[in-house]
Formats: sequence, C-alpha cells, structure tokens
Amino acid sequence: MWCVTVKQRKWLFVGAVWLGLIYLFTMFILVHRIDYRLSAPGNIEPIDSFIQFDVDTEEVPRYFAVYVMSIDRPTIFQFILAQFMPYVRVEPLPESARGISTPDQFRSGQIARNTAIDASIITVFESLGLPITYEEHYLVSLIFNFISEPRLNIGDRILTVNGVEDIFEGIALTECGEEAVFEVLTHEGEQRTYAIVRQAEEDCRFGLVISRYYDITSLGLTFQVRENLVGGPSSGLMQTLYVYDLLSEQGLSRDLIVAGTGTILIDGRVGSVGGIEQKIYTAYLDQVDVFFVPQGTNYEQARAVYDRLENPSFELVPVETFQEALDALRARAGVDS
Amino acid sequence: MLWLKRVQRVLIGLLFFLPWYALFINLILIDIRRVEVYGYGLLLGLVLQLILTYHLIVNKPTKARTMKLALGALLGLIVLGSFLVHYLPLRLL
Repeated sequence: MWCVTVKQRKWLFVGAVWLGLIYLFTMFILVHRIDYRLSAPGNIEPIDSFIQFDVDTEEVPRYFAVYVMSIDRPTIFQFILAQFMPYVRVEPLPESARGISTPDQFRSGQIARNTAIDASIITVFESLGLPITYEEHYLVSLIFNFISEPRLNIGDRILTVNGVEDIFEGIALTECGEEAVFEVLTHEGEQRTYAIVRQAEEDCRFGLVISRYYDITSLGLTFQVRENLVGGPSSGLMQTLYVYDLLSEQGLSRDLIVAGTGTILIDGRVGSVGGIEQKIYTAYLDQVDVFFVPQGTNYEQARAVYDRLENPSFELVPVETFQEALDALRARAGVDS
Repeated sequence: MLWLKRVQRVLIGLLFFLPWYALFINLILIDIRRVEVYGYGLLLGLVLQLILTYHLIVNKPTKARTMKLALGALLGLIVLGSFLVHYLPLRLL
C-alpha cells in the first residue's frame, strides 16, 4: 500500500492545479478564435478532376488551378504559428466579413466557381464557333448580417427590382433609407417578393452581393461538374484553356505543368484575383512549368514574390486575355494560331 | 453504477487527448500541404487513446467491455469531426 504524507499530498495538490492550468491554457490557445483573416499556401488542382466532357480523346490535357487556404477567425495558436511560416498572410478581419458564417461563404464560393465554369465554356464555344445558347441571370451570392429581409437566401435568382428587369437600373430608383421591392425565384422554384431597405447611412447598402450567373440552355456536348470543397472564380482562365485544348485537340499543354490564376469574362478578358503571393509560392512548391497571372497589380505582386524565390521552376506569364495565354502556349508548343 | 464509472473513464481518456487532437487539427488547417503527416499524428492519438482506455476499463476483454472501448473510439472520432467542421477553412481558387 502506498502511503502519502500530508506534505506529499500538498505537493500532489499543487502539481494537479498546475497541470490543470497548463491544460486549460493549452486548450484555450488551440480553440479560442480571434478576429483576423489568415491566408496560407494551398495546392494545385487539375481542372479535369472537376470538369469532365463526354468527348473521345486519346489524351486529356492537364491544366492546373491553384487554391489557397483562407481561415477567417483563426485560433490563437494558428495566429502565432503564422508569424513563423513563409507566405502566410495575417490581416485583421474586414468589417464586411464579420457575421458571415463559413457555410455561407462556402456557398458563395461554390456559386462563383460554377459561374466561372459556365463562363469558360461559353468563351471557348464562341471562340471555336461551336453551337451554344445561354441566358444571363443575377443571383444573390452573399448576404450580410445587417440585411432587413432575413428570408432572402444565397442562390436566390433576382427577377426584377422595383418592377424593372434591368437589376441595376431598378436598384438606382431607390434612395438611401428607402426600401426596394425585389422579385426573386428561390432555389426551390417559388416566386417571392421581398421589400428590402437600403441603409440610410453613408454607404447606402442593401446588405447583399449580386453576381452575374450564366444558364447554358443548349450545348452540342454534355459535361459534368464534380462538386468539391474548392470555391471561388479564380480558376476561370485555366478552365478556359483546358476546355479549349480538350475540344480543339491541339495538345498545347504537352508534358508541361501549366498552372495559373485569373477570372474569366465571356468576352475572354482575364480579371484580377486575391491571394496572389500564396498562389505563387504554391506554384513554386509544386514545381510547375508555366504560371499565368492577370496583367496589372496582380502581376506586380506576383513578380515581387517570384524575384525572391530561389531557382523557380516556372516562367511567370502576365496576360490580359485568354487569347494571350493561348498565344503564349502556342509559341511554346510551336503550333501556328 | 459500474457502467457510469466506465463511461467516466472513457471520458477521462478522451479529455486527456483533447489538446493532442486540437493541436493536429490546427496544424492541418494552416498547413494543408502536410496533411498526411498531421493525419498520422491524429491517428497516433486515437491509437494511444484506445490503449489508455483499454487499460482503464478492460482487465479481461469481454463483449460488453469491448463495446465500451468502441464507444471511446467513437467519441474520439466525434470530437475530431466536430473540430474539423467548426474550424473548416475555405479553399479559394
């Protein structure tokens, strides 16, 4: 039998209290979240892993999108760790992001991703002269917590505002502090009317983000989009290159690892994106061969990171349009346009 | 109230490994590129928790005691899942 003296019992008690405190402190820094936004390098993802066309082809071209990890309200431990990790960016959480739940941000990202896929397909089909018809709509892609109408949902399609089909013209009819009448088609197919107040303050906001959305009504081919956890519009350019190369069978990517970032508009223009530093660093870690980046500020940010990298494996190519990216690949592959 | 005592011991095993799970989930979320390494860390935690729970509960393995061991593992997995869902970051293209 183990006998414990009064003195030993006292020390055991003190030890247990200390261990308890250490336990609580450890759990606190691992679980408690603070109001910052953290962006960390992610991975590259092959486009053909989430877009598949039913076409007979010997070789599926390989193009890669780059994603970054975005953590809103990281834990104290992650915040401290981020200070010692290369290319992890920590910034105060923007006021607009407060009160938006992660599932809502995820749904918003999925809408942006699906819209970018449709825009890529439209761009390629029109560029190759293939038959395609589509309609343009507007969707609610994000809702802030100060909106006056809680029944509105992300993904609802806006039909009219104040009875006007041109959404932005309808919005312009409403003064700050007044309410506008939104006619929407819900995800379940029900038509509803909501009166939403425009804030009286300086910023005069409704509390929602409206995004353009394409509904492809007919296409000569069938395709499948696989759902995954990655969201956002920034793979538009790479999706467009992939679909173009797949359908034109030019084999432009060859054995290269072609990656890049940039949104796509249906006229072929490439738009700017966020998280460029983390994306360049991800491309560096994954040893890609070519990396396309939108011309302008994004290219300047990318160049600053690129110049600091030790022996980067890839060529950094700034582009303004999808056509410029295509020309750069053709020049590499020795294919005439 | 023997069952209550056993559940208590399962919970003690779980509580003991909570910081371990939380640490590795924090690491996975901030450094997704090393997800396999941290994944093995999580797995190791689960195995250690099972061993600990086994020693706390089971002297002679019987069906009922093995069930309680499984309960410990299940609770561990639920805690892991809850952490992951709660702190899920966005992957942005």
